[in-house]
Amino acid sequence: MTGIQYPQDLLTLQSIFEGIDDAIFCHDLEMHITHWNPAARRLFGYSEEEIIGEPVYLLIPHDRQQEKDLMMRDVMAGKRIGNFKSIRQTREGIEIPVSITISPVRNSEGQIVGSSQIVRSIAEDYAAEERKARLAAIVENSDDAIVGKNLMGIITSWNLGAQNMFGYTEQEVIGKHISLLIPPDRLDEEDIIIGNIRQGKKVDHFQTIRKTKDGRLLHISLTVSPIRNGAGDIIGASKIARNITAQKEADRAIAKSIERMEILSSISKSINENLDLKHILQKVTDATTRLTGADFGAFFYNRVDQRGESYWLYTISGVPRSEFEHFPMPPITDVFHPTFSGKGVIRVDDITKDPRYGENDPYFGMLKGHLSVASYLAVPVMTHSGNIIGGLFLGHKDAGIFKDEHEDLVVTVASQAAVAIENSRLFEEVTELSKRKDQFIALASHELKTPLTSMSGFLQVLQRSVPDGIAKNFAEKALRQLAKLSELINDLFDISKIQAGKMQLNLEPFDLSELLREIADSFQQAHSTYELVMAIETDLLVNGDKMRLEQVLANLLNNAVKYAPDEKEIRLDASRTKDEVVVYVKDKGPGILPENQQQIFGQFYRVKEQERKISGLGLGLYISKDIIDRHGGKIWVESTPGEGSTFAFSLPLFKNQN
Amino acid sequence: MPVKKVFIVEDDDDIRLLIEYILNNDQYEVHLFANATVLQTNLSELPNLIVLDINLPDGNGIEICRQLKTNKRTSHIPVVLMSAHRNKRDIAGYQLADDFISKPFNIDHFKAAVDRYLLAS
Repeated sequence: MTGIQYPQDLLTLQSIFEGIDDAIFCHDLEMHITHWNPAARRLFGYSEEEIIGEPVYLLIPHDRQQEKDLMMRDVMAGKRIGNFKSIRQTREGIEIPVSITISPVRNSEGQIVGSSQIVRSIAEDYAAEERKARLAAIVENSDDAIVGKNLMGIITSWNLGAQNMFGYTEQEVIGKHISLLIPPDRLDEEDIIIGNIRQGKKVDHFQTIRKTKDGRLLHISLTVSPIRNGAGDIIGASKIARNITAQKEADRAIAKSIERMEILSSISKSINENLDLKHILQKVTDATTRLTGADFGAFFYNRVDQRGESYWLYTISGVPRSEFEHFPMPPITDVFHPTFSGKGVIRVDDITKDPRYGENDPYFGMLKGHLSVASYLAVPVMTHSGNIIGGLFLGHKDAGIFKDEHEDLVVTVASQAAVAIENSRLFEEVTELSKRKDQFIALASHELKTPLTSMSGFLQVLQRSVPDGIAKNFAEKALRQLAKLSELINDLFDISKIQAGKMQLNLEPFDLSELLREIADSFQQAHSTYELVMAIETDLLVNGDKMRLEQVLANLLNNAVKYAPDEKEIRLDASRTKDEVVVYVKDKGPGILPENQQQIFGQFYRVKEQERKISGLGLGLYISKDIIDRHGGKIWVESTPGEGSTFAFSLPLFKNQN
Repeated sequence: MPVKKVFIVEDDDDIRLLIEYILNNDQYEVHLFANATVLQTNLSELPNLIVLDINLPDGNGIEICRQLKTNKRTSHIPVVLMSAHRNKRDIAGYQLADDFISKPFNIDHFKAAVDRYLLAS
């Protein structure tokens, strides 16, 4: 710098000093600030008034103050320090990266009296650099492989992730063609990808397969983006490859688990919904064969017939039944025996090499000449009480097919099969018991009626032959009791038929009003002390079973007598609506509490308050409801306690097609 | 005119005794059989009516009725079935018979049912 000679020069320098974007300030040898330009104010935040005379150390972070002293040594030696990168701090204490140029200030004698400093903030450059470094670190440390290539497909960058994933080092691949990583059958993909890149299109999450250095194939998800130069031209592509092999395998494992769960649940469902043993066991056999990937599966189970003789049944899967046709039961070979004697699961990778196998026929015992078996898995089917009721056998022609997981699955299924077999046996027992109960009731009702018939007959003869008086009266009473007894026996018989689903209706169209009148007549004859008040419309055509409907009406009328013995008036009404015939039997008895009204149509239900006073089994209304239900009608009761009860039933009106 | 005959097949002694008493008159002959076998051996002379209990120790009344009705020699003889069933409709094959009596029966109704076949013509 030349000496300042003219005021014009001074003015010029002053305006530069004030107008320049770089912060410029000077300090004396006491390190007190002597000059301070506007840019310095902007950078550091101190006004000229604040800072003039203050030590320059205000601007230097505490840990860098020594640096200043070192620099001053150079300045004092007359040296200029250019573009020294350091950190300075603002009035607010914010540290900013700066580039500093320091020069000595001399007086007219040439003595150094201070220093001038030009300070430029390099915060932006610094941030950009830091960003770049950070990006590079991110790229370098990413688990994803990040690869740059040019439009010719030549690899230009290669991160650590790429090295870890594909096995090549940076040195090995830079400059090589990307097809190094592509399996031969997928080379076309590169053309398509590059084609997209040339058009500026990004390729997102493209799932494909790439090859490692050692030839392994990886499932990867690929994202390829164009790289542009400063002018915006596409000059290459960056590829991010994520290894999704584990994910693919997990997906496959999940899909497999789901399939297994579905099969297991279908077995459970089948066991719960089905009581046909053959059907369930076929399902179990099919499922285990499928779950284990066996060539075939067989389920043998032990049955005991009614004579107490045990025999074998089986289901098979995977081979035609004809292969088993001549096979009566598994022979007690050393291979089979352990399964049926509770020795647990047997899993052998190659049964032909098993010592137990050599003792016997070399063909799985049951499959002579048909199937060859190496992998063998046999699981006993055991009840909770530990009885062996059968076994699941699985085979495969190749060795080493069945693994732990297969064994676990078959054990699970076998325990479900055991439940199925037990349920089915219980069901058969219950069915058999129920059948025998029905037969017993049919026989009992017949046997009970035989003495009843002769008693009734003899009493009738007596009643007709003795003169009026106490003897005749007693004979009549005895006959009435016999009639009740006979009805009770009929009810029992009906119940057993209802439960067995054997009550048949003999439907025919007829006029219910005629039947009602007939019933009313015979009721009036039997209960001459009662007054039956009737309002019956004509032409009440229904399609019904006369006998059963008569039974319902007789039951309702008899109930009216039974439960309202002191009220001598009973109403019998019948009317027709558009679609229905409705019959009402109304008594003036004590009525029925609302909470009892629903239950009285249940089996064996009797109104509790009256249980002791009135005889009966509580079956009449249950049978009546069953009969009316089967006619497609409804039966109900309306009652207010103290005001009597009305029992009613409706039947669909029979409409002649013509 | 020959006296008309009714065959009663009933295994219970007392019911047979009762029926014999109810039908005791000089208008027709009552022949009582305790089982199906005795009935078969006595069919050389045909009756004018057969009253058949359904549950017999050596056979089923329905089956015997079917045999009688399919045999040309006996198909014209009316058969009245008798059983503890409340209603004839409870019996499979009841249509084969001409009538049905439910046990226990009203003795007047029983006699009327028999008379209908023996005294009508």
